[in-house]
Amino acid sequence: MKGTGSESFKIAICSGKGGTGKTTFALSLAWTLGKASEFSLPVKLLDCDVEEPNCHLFLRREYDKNEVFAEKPVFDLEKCIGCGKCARKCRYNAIAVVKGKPIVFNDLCHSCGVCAAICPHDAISLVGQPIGQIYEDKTHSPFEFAYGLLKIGESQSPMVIDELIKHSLESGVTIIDGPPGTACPTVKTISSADKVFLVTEPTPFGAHDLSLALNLCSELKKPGAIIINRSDKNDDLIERLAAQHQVEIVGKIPFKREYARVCSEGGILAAEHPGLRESIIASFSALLSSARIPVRVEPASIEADDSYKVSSDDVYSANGYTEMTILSGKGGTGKTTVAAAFSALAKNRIFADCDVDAANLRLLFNGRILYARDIRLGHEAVIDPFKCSKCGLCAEQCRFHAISQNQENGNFVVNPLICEGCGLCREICPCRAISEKDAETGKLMLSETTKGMLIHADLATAAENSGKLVSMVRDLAAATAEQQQRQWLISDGPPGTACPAIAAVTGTDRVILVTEPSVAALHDLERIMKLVCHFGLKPAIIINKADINAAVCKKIAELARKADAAILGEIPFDETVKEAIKAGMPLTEFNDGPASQALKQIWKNLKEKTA
Amino acid sequence: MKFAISVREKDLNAVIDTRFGRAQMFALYDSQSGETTWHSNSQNLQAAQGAGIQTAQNVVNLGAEAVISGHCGPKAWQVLKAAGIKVYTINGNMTAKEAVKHIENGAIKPSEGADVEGHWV
Repeated sequence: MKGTGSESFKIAICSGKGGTGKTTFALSLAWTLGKASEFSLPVKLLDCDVEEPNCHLFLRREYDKNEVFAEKPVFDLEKCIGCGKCARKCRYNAIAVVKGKPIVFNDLCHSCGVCAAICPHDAISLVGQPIGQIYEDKTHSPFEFAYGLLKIGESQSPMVIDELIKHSLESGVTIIDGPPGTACPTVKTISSADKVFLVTEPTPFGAHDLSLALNLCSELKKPGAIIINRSDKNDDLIERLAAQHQVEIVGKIPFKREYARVCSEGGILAAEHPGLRESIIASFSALLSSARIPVRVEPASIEADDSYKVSSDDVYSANGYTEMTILSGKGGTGKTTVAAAFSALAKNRIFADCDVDAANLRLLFNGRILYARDIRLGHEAVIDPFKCSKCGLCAEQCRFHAISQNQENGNFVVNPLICEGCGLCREICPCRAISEKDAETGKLMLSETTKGMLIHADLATAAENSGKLVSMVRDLAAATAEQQQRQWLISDGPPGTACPAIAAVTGTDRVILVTEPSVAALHDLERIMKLVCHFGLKPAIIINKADINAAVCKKIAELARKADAAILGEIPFDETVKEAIKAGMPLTEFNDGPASQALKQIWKNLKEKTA
Repeated sequence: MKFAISVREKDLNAVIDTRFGRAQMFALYDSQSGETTWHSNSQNLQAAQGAGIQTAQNVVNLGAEAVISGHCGPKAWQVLKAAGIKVYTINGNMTAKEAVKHIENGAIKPSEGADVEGHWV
C-alpha cells in the first residue's frame, strides 16, 4: 500500500450514468485485490447503491442482518398542548396539528430533530424507526463484504449509506460501489472516500453523465480516474472529456459479448477471465499514484428566449392526456432508448425527462431551448464567525454532519453540499449566529424539438430536492400537454426507488418498466415493481436485450405472472442501438434494424390497447 | 356552512382550481351570511414536499367546515378528516358559485376518501 499515506484507504466507484459497469468493476477489483499476494492488507467491498444493491447477487454469501433506524418524532400527549410550533418549523411538512392534536407523516420526515429541539413543552421524543437494513457477510474470503438495503417507499437513502460506511475497514482497502446519478446518495458516497474510480462507457450518454460526476468530484475535492467499460474504437469522446477535466484514463475493459454473458449470469468477471488481472492491478496502482482532483468544466451556457411564456400554475387538469412513465430500477437497461422511440413514434405528444440528475433524453432530440428558469428551493445554513462563540453545539447536533470546525482558525463552517437546510442549527444556536440563504436547486427547461415539446431539468451539482425538481418537470409538462391539447405525455424516469423515482411515479397514468435479462436487473425489477404497486399502479414490462440470457428471461416472465403484470414485448440485442445514441437520434428514426422493429411493434400494440 | 374553495382568482364566478395542495388561493365563503374572504396559499406552491398537508392545515386554521377542490391526496385527507371537514371533489370546469349551489341542493355529495394516489412530494 505504498503511496496511500495511511493504513486505511477508501475508494468509491461511481459513474453518473447507471448501467455502465460500476458493479462489474467493483466486484472484479475486490476479487483481484483480495486474491493478489502482493497486497497484504485486507480488502472489503461495500455496496452503497442501497436503493438497488446488486453485488450480493454475485457473491451468494451468508449474512448477519442489522436494522438501520432513523429517528422520528413521537408525541407525549399529556404534555403536548397543541400549539403547532413543530408543524410550522418542520421544513418537510411532516407534521400537522389539528384540533390540538398532532399528526405525524413518517415517510415525509427526514429525521432532522427540529421538532424535538423547539417544542416548548418538551412533549416530543425521537424514536428510531426502521428504514432499511445492513447485511454483513460472514465468509470474509477472498474479501469482506457488506451491503445496505433501503425499505421500499422510504426516501432517506443517505442515512442507510452513512450507516454502511461505518462498516469500512480500519486497516486495509475499502471499495465502495456507489449509486448512479449525482444527487444526495452519490454525494454521501464520494464524500466518504479518499479517491474515486469513475466507470463510463463510450457513448454520448456515458460522456454527458461522466462530466457531471467529474464536476461533482471537483466540487468535493476528491481525486479521481476514469475506467472505460465496453471500450471500442470510439473512445475519443471520453478521451476529450478526460483531457478537459485533466484526469487520467487508467483502464479500459473491451466490449465483448462473452463478458456481458458472464455478468448477466451473476459471475465475477475477473474470476472467470483471469487475463484481466494485470490490467485491473495496473488501474488500481495508477489511481493510487497519479489520480488528480478533476478540473471543473462549465456546461455550455443555456440561452433562452425570454419572450416565451409558460405557466405551470394556471393550467392543470389530470384529464385529457395519458401520462406514460418509463422506469427500470436498475440504470442502463435502456429506459432512454425506449422513451426516445415512443416519443418519436407517438403522434400528438409531448415528452419529459424526469432523470434530473443525469438528463439524457435531449441528446437524442436536437432541440432549441425556449425557456429556462433557475430554481431555488430550500435553504442553506450560514454561520457568522463574529457572532459564533465556538461552542460546537450545531456541529454536534446536525443529523447530516454538515458542520465541521476549521482546524486552522477554529471557525465552524457549513458544508453546503451536505446541508439539508432543516434549520436545526439556527434554532438551537445560543448566540443566534446562524442565518439562512436560498439554495440552488437547478434549471427547469422547455425545448422545442421536431417531435414536439421536451420538458427537462438539470440538477445543480450536489443540490438537494431532486425529487421536487422531478415534480416541477412533471407540473410544467402537464401544463404544456394541457395547453397544447396533447394525447400523450411520455416521461423518462430516474433509476432507483427513493425520492426522484417516487416523485416520478406518483399520480401517473401508466408505468412501463424496461429491464434486461441479468440477475442484477431482475433483482431491481422486483423492487421497482413493489414501489409501483405501492402507489396503486399496475406496471407493464419490456425486456431489452432479451436474447442475451433465455434463463433469466423465464424468471422475468415468472415474476411478471405472479405480480399480474403484462410483458409488452422483447427487444433483441442489437449493436446499432449504440450507433443510434452516437448519432444522437431515436433508434426508430435511425434505422429499421431488429431492435428498431421490435420497438415499433411494441408501440403499435400499446397504442391499440390504450385506445 | 363555511366553504374553503380553491380558486385561481378573486371571483366566485370563476372556475375552481382543481389542485388542492398547490392551489394559489382559497376563498372562504360563508353560505349563510354570503360573506367571502380571500386567503393566499402561495407559500405551498414552492413547498419541497407535503404541500397538501400544509394546505389542509391552513384550511383547518381558517375554520372551514367543508372544502371544495379538485383532487385531494391521502395525507391531506387524513388531516381534513381529523378536523371533521367535509371534502367535495369537483371534476372539470365548474365555478365556485355553481359548486356551492350543487352541494346545497344535494347534487354533489361529500367524497368518501382520498381520490388521488399519494403525491409524495
